[in-house]
Amino acid sequence: MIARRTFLGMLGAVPLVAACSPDADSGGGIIAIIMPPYDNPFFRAQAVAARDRAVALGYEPLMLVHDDDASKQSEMIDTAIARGAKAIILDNAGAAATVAAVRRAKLAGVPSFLIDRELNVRGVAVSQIVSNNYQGAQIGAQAFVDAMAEKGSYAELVGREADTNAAIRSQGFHAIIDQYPAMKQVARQSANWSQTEAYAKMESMLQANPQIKGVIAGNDTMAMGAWAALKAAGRTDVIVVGFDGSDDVRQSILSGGIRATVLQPASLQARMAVEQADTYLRTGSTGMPEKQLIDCILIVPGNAERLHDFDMRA
Amino acid sequence: MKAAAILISLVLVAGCRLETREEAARHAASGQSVDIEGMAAEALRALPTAIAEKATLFDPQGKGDTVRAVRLTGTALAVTGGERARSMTIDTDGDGSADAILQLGPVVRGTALRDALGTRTFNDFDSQIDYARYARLINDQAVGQVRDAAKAIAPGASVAVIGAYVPGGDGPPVVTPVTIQPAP
Repeated sequence: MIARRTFLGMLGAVPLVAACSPDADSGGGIIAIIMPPYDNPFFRAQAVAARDRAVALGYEPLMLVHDDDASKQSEMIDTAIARGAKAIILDNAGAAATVAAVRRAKLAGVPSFLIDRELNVRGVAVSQIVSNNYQGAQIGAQAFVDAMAEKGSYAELVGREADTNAAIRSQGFHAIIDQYPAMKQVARQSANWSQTEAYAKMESMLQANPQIKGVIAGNDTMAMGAWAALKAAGRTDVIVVGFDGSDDVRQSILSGGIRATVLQPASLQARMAVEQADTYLRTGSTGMPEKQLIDCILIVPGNAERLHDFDMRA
Repeated sequence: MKAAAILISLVLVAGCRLETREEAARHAASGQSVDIEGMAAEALRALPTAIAEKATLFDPQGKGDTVRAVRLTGTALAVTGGERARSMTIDTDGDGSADAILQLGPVVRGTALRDALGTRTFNDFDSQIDYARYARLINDQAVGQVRDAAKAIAPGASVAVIGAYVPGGDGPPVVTPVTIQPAP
């Protein structure tokens, strides 16, 4: 059972592994790269960036996908330990459920380097590199308020409740939007980061509140789902702002659809995590504090051209 | 069959022990949870002096994305905004146009005071939510303490301000104040 679930989890990673052909003779050893499912391009970009950096530094990447399932993640961490991985790069499947597994790896001598989602404790992982979600949500919300001309009815699509990032982004949005008394929130629902769920939620919110003038979404896949539902309903007048900086949303921004998003430098974070793992393995220290915040960047028509694979190109 | 049952129960027992120890470890780790109100109170005591000591003279042309402690004097132009987010525009170079916008709250945006003070970093907190809450407590109380002083400043009056801001890009920068005083 355990073997089969792990195998299934690895299946999702097959195209990535095939594309990388790591050098079997590299002396660096295995780095396990454990990520949420790649159907969200954000996680795929992280996986690719981490894999490429690991290969460049002479490690053999072991690509695993936990599908946001904490028990599957736990098995994968055991797999990494059993395979003798030198380090684990992890975007975790839920803060509370992850601490025990990361601690188990630590006790087995395998250090973990977290990206994107933090643990709510310190001293278990070596590094926790996360986007400054509060700052990012505030700049996204300001762009939203500006596009709304500071007034009107709006809906909020919230991410998965178990994810710290869902709460912190919502708080950041409201730290700005609540300053404008003419901005009226008429609906607020979780679509669990999912595009299809956001489509359905948007349809029902729109039916209940046809006066909606704007939608602020906790991530880009939900923004894309909302935008698709709005298009289907002939309501492309509605202002949509997302969060993540995906290439899909970049295209929508450039073609006059979604108004703005907030780039989380996902590829940068993934590279940093692998580099810190390498430094730690060579010297015994990363030279950095455990918890590290990376500022987000507002993406609007003026700079959207430079956005590719969750990175800003020169 | 019997051997398999024994094996399974052994695994179960082992599994239980492992989880129990880790639960305990996790509880111990979360027991170190930080006292955010206490840290904010400590920050607020240090804030006016610390920001004044770090403050450099305001540069209306300044650019960049690094937080700065700042000292500025000028003419109060207008107080605008609704009940939730009032702000005062200030002309620092005498050309009659706004060079800086002072946030007067009650809702205050950004984390400039926390970041300019710099005594606590993200690494001192368990989560981004705690780190943001710390910033918000500082904002609410620091700006709350200067609101009455701001009310006493009429448009056209001279004003001296100490605060913090991130220069950013377009438009006058938004400054979060720690002291507002009438200037000669």
